[in-house]
Amino acid sequence: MNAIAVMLITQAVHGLAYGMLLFLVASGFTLIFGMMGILNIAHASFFMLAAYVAFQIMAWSGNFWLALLLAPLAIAFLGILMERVMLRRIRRFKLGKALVLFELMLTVGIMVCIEEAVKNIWGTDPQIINAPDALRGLIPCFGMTYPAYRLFIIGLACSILILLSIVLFKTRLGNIVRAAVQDAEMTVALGINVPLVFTFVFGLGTWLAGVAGVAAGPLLTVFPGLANQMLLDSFIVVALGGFGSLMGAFIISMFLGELTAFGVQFFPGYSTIILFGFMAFVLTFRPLGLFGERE
Amino acid sequence: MKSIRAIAPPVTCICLLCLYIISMDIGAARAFTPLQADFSSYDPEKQEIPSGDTIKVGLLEPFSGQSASAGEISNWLLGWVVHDINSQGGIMVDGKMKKIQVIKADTATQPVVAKRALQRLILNDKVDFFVGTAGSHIAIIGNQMAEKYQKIFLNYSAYSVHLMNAQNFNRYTFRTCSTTDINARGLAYYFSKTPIRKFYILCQDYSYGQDFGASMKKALKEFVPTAEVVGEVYHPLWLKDFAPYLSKVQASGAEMIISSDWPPDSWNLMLAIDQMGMTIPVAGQFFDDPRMGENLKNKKVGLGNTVVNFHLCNVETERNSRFNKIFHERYKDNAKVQIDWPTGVVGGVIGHFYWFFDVVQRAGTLNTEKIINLWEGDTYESFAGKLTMRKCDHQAVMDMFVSTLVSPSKWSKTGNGLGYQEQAVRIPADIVMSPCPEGLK
Repeated sequence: MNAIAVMLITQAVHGLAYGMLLFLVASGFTLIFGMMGILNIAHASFFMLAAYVAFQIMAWSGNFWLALLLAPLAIAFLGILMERVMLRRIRRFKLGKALVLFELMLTVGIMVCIEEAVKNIWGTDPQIINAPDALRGLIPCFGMTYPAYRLFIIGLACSILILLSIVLFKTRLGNIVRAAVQDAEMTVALGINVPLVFTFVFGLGTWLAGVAGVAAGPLLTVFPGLANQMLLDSFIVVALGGFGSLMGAFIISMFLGELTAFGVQFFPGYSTIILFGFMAFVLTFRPLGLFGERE
Repeated sequence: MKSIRAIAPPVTCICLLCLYIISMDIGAARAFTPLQADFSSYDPEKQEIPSGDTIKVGLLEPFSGQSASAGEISNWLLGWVVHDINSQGGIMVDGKMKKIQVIKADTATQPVVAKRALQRLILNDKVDFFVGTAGSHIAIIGNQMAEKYQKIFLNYSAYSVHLMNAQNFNRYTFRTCSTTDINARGLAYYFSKTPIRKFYILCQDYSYGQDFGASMKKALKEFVPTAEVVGEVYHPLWLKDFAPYLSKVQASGAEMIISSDWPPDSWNLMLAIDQMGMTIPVAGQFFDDPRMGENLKNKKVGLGNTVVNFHLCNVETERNSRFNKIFHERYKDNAKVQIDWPTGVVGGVIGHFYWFFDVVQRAGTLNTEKIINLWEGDTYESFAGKLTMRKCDHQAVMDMFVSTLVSPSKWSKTGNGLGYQEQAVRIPADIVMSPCPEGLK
């Protein structure tokens, strides 16, 4: 294969890997908004917290797989706690349209709390999570060699996309969730515990943030600014894809990943302008995002 | 009676002279000397806050956001010096011994936040001086506020060469760290003695990174005419994915990356090099962080990294050896602190704080004008060598030091990991210093 082809393929796979990581972060964000109408700004903080919890588990056990299993569960537990103790409570007040604003402020507060807690517990020094030995090094791919861990991210994100699609669109649980979103009162009348469904959705969304946090650990250093680092990109993905649209989040994540990679290759310095120009263009003609249905 | 009257004047004179000498002795006894304190009790998180009449120093740094660790490190280093001086009783100013009180102000590395924080420091907390700061775009705010409120601003960590040019210079700001120009000249001179000729410039896309890139190209042209810059890219601050950049580097055939990056970018760059299966070394100021070196799994990554700085712990001087010993003794068994040798910036900044307080001590006053007059042209013997404050642009003149990372190195945390070579290369000030900026005398 000639050098130009290798370069193009390499950049395409880089874009794919970064796009998949973005999708992992944004999927939980958009899921919670799409199903519950909550713009959870603390989502990126849950992502960061998962990376720290994984770092801690790694420090104790040295086992990345254990961290990938336990850290997202811990984050999901915290998410469930947040939904049941805070968000559900705030919904009991009849705040009308202002509810969205209060929920937003509440999640901002939680975001700040998590960031400060992280600083107090782990300090401000960057920390490193090493990829497991099985995923270190390069493996042959498309006639060249490519880092195994980045391929793992691609595989992990694809698996999660398929799993989520099956759960939401092919199972009874998915039907209940979608019914509760369409008409909560009718669903309650059918004897379904809708608050429990929402708790499940919120837990699932934060679990996804947790998975993304652990997966990102070996790619990025873990430090208290990690949440801010990912928040803007994941917000762009959700806004452009359409709040609540998993497919939209997936497509925009891929687009953003490829734009970043090829932007570096062909027009460094202009990729940010192109990205935000594209965002302005999309939102001008489709304010709900490319695949958005929910305001 | 007559004889008493006759001897009274000379006796009085002698008595007064004795009193003066005694008072001078007391003054001298009260003067602080670096590294006298018991540092075993020093904990930056539990710093003593002196009460009463104190010398108030504002510490302008990021304590939140992506660069919070830079602020915490500065707090640790300033705290080290303040702990030392306060444990010796403080500094004699305006006829009174005063302890130093540090007041922190968070910039969040954002100019708007920094400006507000600085106004609070000056107007509410009424600091006598302020020191800082990470980010040349923040230091420029410091320059402006120093001039506006006529407060001395010690800049020990913003390197952009433009900060002290004719347009931005003001007589209240003093820069003790090096500049992008000085660093670039030091590196280029060092490379002129090595066979490395293909360089790739990969810097952060803001004033410091762009200045460093430009300075590096200029310096390579001057010192290594056969050098080739095979690529040049400026990436956003706090980049999330270095892989696309590294693929370009790989394709360019570069032998060395030259980068201005500082943590977390410098860490993420090294991690990405590790992950991409590359071993290309990086030259810059912040690629010697032992916290990073200890955590990289591929032990070939980082080898050959070349650091340039105004201080390195492997510079052989008597003062530096003593400093190394005291610092290492304090931190060698401390699991929480991975920097157990006073590496480049760590040791250098501590030395610069000592210089600043030494100037205040010698001025014997908090009067801004008197301190400025004393500091301009002042010379100080720091740990790694002599520092002189150039009058024309308030830029410290100093030798620079370059070192390559090797393994095993006695300067690593474990004693056999990645760290500096045995001894740093000293590059004299007359090679690295640029002349006074145009328009300044």
